[in-house]
Amino acid sequence: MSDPASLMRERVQLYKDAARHKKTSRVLNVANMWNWIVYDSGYKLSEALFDYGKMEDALFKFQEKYQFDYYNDYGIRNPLRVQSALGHTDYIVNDEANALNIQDINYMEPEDYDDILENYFKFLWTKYMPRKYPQANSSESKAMMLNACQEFAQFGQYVGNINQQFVVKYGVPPALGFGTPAFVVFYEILFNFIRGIRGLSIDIRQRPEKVKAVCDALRTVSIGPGPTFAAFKAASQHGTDMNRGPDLFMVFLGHTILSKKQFEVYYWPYLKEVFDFTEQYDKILHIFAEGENSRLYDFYKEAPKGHVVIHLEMDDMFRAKKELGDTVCLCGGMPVDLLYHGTRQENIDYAKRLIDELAADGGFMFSQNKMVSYPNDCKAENLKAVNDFVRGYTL
Amino acid sequence: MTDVKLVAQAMGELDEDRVMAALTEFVASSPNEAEALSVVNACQQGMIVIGELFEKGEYFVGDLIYAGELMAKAIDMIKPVLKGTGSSKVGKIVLGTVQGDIHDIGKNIFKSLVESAGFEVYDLGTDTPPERFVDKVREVKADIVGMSGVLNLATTAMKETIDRLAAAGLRDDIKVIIGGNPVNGEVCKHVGADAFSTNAAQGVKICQGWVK
Repeated sequence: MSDPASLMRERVQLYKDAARHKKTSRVLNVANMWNWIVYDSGYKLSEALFDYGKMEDALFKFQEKYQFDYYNDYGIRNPLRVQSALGHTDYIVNDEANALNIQDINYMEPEDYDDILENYFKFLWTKYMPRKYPQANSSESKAMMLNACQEFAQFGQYVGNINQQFVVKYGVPPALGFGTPAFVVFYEILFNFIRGIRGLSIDIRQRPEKVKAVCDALRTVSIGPGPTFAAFKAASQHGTDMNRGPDLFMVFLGHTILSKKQFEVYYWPYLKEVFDFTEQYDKILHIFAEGENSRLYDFYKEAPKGHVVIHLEMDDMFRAKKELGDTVCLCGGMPVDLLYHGTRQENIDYAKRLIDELAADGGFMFSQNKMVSYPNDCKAENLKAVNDFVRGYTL
Repeated sequence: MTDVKLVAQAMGELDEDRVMAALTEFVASSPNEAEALSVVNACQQGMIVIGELFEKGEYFVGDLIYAGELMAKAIDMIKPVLKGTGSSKVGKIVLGTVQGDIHDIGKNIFKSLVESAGFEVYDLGTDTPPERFVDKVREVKADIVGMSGVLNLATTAMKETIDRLAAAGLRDDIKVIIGGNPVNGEVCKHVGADAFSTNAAQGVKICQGWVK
């Protein structure tokens, strides 16, 4: 089975079976590979991030070399060209370190909570945009907006095209994070895009009722221009989509600053709605959860069995399997430290241990334990050895 | 006289209104320097409680960020009264986020906790080149170097910084602690640090152990 169409069917079925906790013939290998793909290709990060052709070339070469089953992202996560068209980005590209840094942002004041409650989109257009893109408020604003719209259209074309190309050329289903309807609880929007880490940490202590009110009002929204979760749910049909792995995707980043009690207030009610939806509509949700999550396992245990996959970034996967394995399909596990510092054999041995202990009864997808981004995250020969092993290891 | 126990308790509970009300009343009472130091000490005791609650899981990272803000606000209020007061420091720490990394939240949390524990902190900010660490350590005769980073690339910069400290002949006179997402026992050994921590409160305890 090597033609792309057959591979695509196999990979979709393996994803569904793993998520449903069925025993599978082999374990899926999910790429948690990010800017390291560009590093491995020989392109400079600044070149690939601003040139869709180079990014595509880097991705194709990468897939031909390492043959992953799924990707989280195809260079889509950071649309620098669109932001740059508006005269500003929060990103700092460092070619020498192959690093893309982002500053902690703050585009809102404490009193803006009331404005968000009254009319979120009005807040975005009248306060957020002028603060984030002050140049777009100048006499050149019309030309800048037009240029940004054109860039956005090109970006949209790239997103559609790269997902389609991976299906057609390699039989790799659409990306988990950026080829699948993707949502975040509104708290994440405050954390990542509007209020920032410091501002939100202060607000949770100084004006918790305001933070809660906007979270209650806006609940769960799309990452990007898609529909809100409520609209997505309203348009959903029963059953899982056999043209992709998960039916929907969520990313957890801002939970990394929340205590268990705070998570219960600002996150859990909206996450529970998504969990309930997956069970009611027989859907599969894929979550990427950054950081260490063990304090939140009591919530994750509430996931309906067979409907939720969680990629745990820095957790002890063997402990996670014991605590969550009855309900949640786990994803992750391969330490980037080992991929960089370990020998080829040490890497293969660890990969074998992960699969033997976590996948024997189903409910596990193999992946890297951190977003592989920098030169010292991984050695090419180790990654190749691990991927060759995982692909050929039958259960 | 302001009840220092109440200040410590309010700080530990992260109750900004009570902390600031108590400090406003205190400053208005024209206190002497000894009284000011006792109130600073109360704030520091509150920060110790915050660190303990963090270790128990009651508080989390966002609470520590807020605690740092609150402590800074409290000290700003007491500063005019403290003017000229030479409170003794337990040690000197040169601190920074290493080259290539601009994340400063973990560093700032550690800074506020370690300052509360009585250390004099020289904060070099973010994206700090190795030579800046070397120059500052030499200049202030530091006891400890604290290096922070969130990105995995930070570990390379940590190693480079420690190598430069060694090349400058300073390594044997200082202790080095590294902190942040990518650090662990293996990384600590690889970069040549003396200790590591992903938990700011624990990091403070390690530093306290070094200057006993």
